[in-house]
Amino acid sequence: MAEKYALKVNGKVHEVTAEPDAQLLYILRNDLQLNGPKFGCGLAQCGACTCIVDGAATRTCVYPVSAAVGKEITTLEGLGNVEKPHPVQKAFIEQQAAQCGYCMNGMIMTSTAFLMQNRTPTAEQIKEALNNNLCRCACHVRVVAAVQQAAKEMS
Amino acid sequence: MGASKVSRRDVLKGAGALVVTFTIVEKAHPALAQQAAPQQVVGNWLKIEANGKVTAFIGKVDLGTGIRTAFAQIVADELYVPFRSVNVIMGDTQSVPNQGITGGSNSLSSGAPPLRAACAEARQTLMQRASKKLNVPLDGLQVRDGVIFATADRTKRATYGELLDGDFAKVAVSGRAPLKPPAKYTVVGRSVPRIEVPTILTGGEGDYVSNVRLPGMLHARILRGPKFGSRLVSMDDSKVKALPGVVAVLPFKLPGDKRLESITSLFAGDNIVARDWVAVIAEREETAVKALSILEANTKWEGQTEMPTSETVYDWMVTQKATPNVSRNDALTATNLRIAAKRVRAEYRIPFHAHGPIMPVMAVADVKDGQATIYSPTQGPFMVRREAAKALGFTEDKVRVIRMEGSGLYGRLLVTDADIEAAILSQTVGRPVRLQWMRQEEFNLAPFRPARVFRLDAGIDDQGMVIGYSSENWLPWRPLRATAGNQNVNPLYAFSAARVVTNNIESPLRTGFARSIEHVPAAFAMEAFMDQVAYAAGDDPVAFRMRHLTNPRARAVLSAAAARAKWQPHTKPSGRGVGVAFAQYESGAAATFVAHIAEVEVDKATGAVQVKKFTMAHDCGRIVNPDGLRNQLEGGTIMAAGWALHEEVKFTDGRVTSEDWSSYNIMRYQEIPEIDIRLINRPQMQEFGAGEPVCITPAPAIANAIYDAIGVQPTQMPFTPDRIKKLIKT
Repeated sequence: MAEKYALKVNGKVHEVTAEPDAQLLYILRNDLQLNGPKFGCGLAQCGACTCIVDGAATRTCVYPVSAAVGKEITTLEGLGNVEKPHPVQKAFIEQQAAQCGYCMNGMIMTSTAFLMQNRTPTAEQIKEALNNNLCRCACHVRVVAAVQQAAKEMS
Repeated sequence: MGASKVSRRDVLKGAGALVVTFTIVEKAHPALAQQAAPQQVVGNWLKIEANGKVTAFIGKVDLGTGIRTAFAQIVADELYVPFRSVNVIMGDTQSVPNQGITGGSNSLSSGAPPLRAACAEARQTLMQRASKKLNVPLDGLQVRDGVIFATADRTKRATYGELLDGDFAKVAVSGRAPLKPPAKYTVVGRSVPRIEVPTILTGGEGDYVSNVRLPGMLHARILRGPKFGSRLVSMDDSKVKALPGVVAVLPFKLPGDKRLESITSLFAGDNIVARDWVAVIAEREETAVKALSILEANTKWEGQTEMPTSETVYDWMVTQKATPNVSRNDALTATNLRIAAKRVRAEYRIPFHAHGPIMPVMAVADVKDGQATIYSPTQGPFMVRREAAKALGFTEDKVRVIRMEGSGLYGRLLVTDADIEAAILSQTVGRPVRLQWMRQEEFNLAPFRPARVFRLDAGIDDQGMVIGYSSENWLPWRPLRATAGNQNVNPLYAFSAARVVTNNIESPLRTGFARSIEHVPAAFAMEAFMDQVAYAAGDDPVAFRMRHLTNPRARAVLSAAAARAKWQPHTKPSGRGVGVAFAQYESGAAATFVAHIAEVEVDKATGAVQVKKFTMAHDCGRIVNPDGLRNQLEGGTIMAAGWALHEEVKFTDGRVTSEDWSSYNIMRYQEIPEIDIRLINRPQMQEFGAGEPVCITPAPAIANAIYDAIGVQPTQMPFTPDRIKKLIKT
C-alpha cells in the first residue's frame, strides 16, 4: 500500500506518496526531479546512485524510502551549484575529473562523506574509499587528484 | 531537463543572422578532401546572430570525449570570436547535417575541415560587408574578437552584430575563402576546460537523456527470455496487472513481430535482441521494476540456441565453416618461412568483451498524432531515425531524434536497442514511454566485441630480419560479415613477405562495435608475438621493432616512449618486468601512432599481476586540446588494462553468466597505475583523432612485461591470477 512520507532532502522537507519498499533513487529522480543521483545497476555495485544519508555515503538504488524518513538526505545538488560549487565539486571541475561524467555523482558524494571522516587522507586511503565506485571511462587518476586537492582546500 | 535545450525548432529562423551551408557533395571540394562520404556534409553548419551568438551544428555526438569543446575551439579560432560566444548543437536530426555515426575516432578528422571552411566563408562574407560599410579595402581590414577594424584607423570599426543587423542571409561554402594559418591559432592547441563539466558535476540541468521527464511519461522495463533462442510458452500476468499503476503488459515475439523484424543494422550484427520478450509499463518507475520480478516468476519459456561456452569457444571457432578474407598474400611467404634461419609460432586468444556502460541503455519516446520524438543516447541519431520510421510505419520526416548525453558508450550504441523498443511501446500505449534496460540485461544482450583466435608464424633470416610472416585468424560476427577483420591484422612492419588470412565465421553471441573494435585483438596478437620473435632473433624488443619500421612518425613515437621510460628490460625473470607495444591505428584516413611501455609486478604465489606504471607516447597530428587529449589517453589506457587483466564475457548453457559488476570485473581505484604521457604535437598536420588508438597497445605491453617478469608469455586474455599461476608452474 502506498503511504505518505516526509523526506528531508537538501535541507527542505518534501512529502511523497510511494510504496514503503520503493527505492529512494526513483523517488529522488522522479518525484523530486533531482538529476544528481543516477541509475547504474540497481544492485548497489557501481555507486552511481550515491547520496549522503545522515553523513554516510548511501546507495539509494537499494535503499527503501520508508527507511529514509527522519534522516538528512543530501544529493549532488545539495552540495553546490555551478555558480557556487562545494570545494569537492570545485576540485573535480578544476581537475577536469570527468569524461561522460555519469558516475561522477557517486565519486563526489562518496569522497565528500569520506572527507568528513578523514580530513588529511593519503592517496592510498582515497583509493580505498572509492574502490567500489566504478568509472568506465577511467578518470581514476583525476578523481584521486581532485579529492587530494579538495582535502587541502577544506583543511 | 531544460526546455530551451531541446526546443531547437526555430533555431534557423529569425532576422539578423548569417547561416553558412554546404550544398556541394563532391570530394573535389577543397574542404571535403578528407571526407569518406562527402554527401554526409550537406546541411547548415554555422549560424552567426546579430547579438553576437555563434552556433555550430555538428552531426557527430559527444560521447564524453570532449569534442563539443574541441569544435567550439575550432570555431572560435577560425571565426575570430570569443570562445564563450560559441554554442555547439550536436546530433539533433532536425537541425544538424547527417554526418553518419560517431565512432572510429573520426569526429575531428571528418568534422573539422568542413567546419573550418564554413567559418572561413562566414568571416569572408563579413569582411566584404565591413569593407563596403567602412569604405576600407579588404586588405586594410583586421578582425579580432568579432570586431572588424581598419588597420590604419582603429576607430573605423564594425562588430559582426552590426554587420548582420536586420538581415537574414544564407551563404554556401565555396571553399575559396582563405583559412587561418595554423601558426596563428590561439584557441586551438590550448587546454580549454570542457563546456559541460561544471553542469555535470553539480547535478545541473545538463543534457543527460536520463533526465528527460515528459508530462504523462510512463516507465517501462523488459523481461527477456532467459537464454539465447528462448520462446515464450505461457505467461500469467494477473499478479502484475493487480499492482496499482501498471498500465500494460505486452508480449513480443521475436522472430514473429513485423515491426521489430523491419529493423536492420547500420553495419552488421543483430540489430535487435533475437528472443521473445515481455514489456511491463507502469505509471511509476519502482512499480515497473517490481512488476519485472513478479512477471519473471510467472512466465514459462522453452528452447535455446546450441552454442559453445566461453571455455570451448576457441576450439569451436577454428573448426567452423569460414569465409576466408585474404588481406595480404605475398608469393614468397611460404618459401621464406621454409628457408628461414629461425621459426617462431604462437597462438593467441581473446575473449568477447562487453562495453559495460555505467548507464545501461535507455531511451524516451513520444509517439503521437503520426509523429515521433525519440530522446536517445545513440551514436547514430540518423540511424535511429531511419530504423524507428520503419518500425513505426512512418516516413523519416515524421521522426525526430534528439541525441542527448548518456554514459560512455564505446561503440555500444552503433546498433539501435532501447530507442526503437521505446518507440514501439509508446506507439502501442499512446503516451510517452521511458524505457530503461536493467544491468543484467545490458550484460546479457549487448552486442559484444567478437572473440578472436590468431595463429602466427614468423621466419627470421641470419641477419635477424623477418623474411616471412603468416597470420591466420578467426573472427565471429553475427550475422556473418564477409569482409570484416582487416583492421591492424596486416603487419605494420617491413616484413619481406607476408600472408594474412581472416576466417570470418558466424558468432554464437550478439556482436557489435566496441572501442577500437578489431584493432585490440589484432594488435595484442601481433605485438605480443613481435616480442617473442625479437627474443628469438636475440634482439631487444624496441631495437627489433625499430629495425622493421620505416615511417618517421612511427619511429618517433616508439623512440619517444622508450626514452621517457628509460627502456631497459630486465632479461632475467625477477617478478618485475617491463614490456613494450607499438601500433598505428588503422581506420580510414586515420594516422595516429601510439606506444605503451608497461611496468608490472607478478606475485609468483598467487599469480596476481599488478601494473605499476605506464609510459606512453602518442601522435594524433594536430592537438586541439592537450588536457582533453590527456584525459582520453589516461582513460583509454586504464580501460585497456582492464581488458588485459580482468574482462571476459562468460557464457554457458545458452546464457551469459557474467551479468553484473561482481562477475564482470573492470579496473578499480586500488589497482590504477601511474601514467606518464608524452604528447607529440604536429600543428601543421590535420587532426587524426584519439580515443580509440590508445586502447590498442596496453594489453600486449602488459603481456610482454609479464614475460620479462616470469619468463613465460601469457597468450590468452585476460591474464587472470589462475592463468598466470599455471604459466609459472609449467
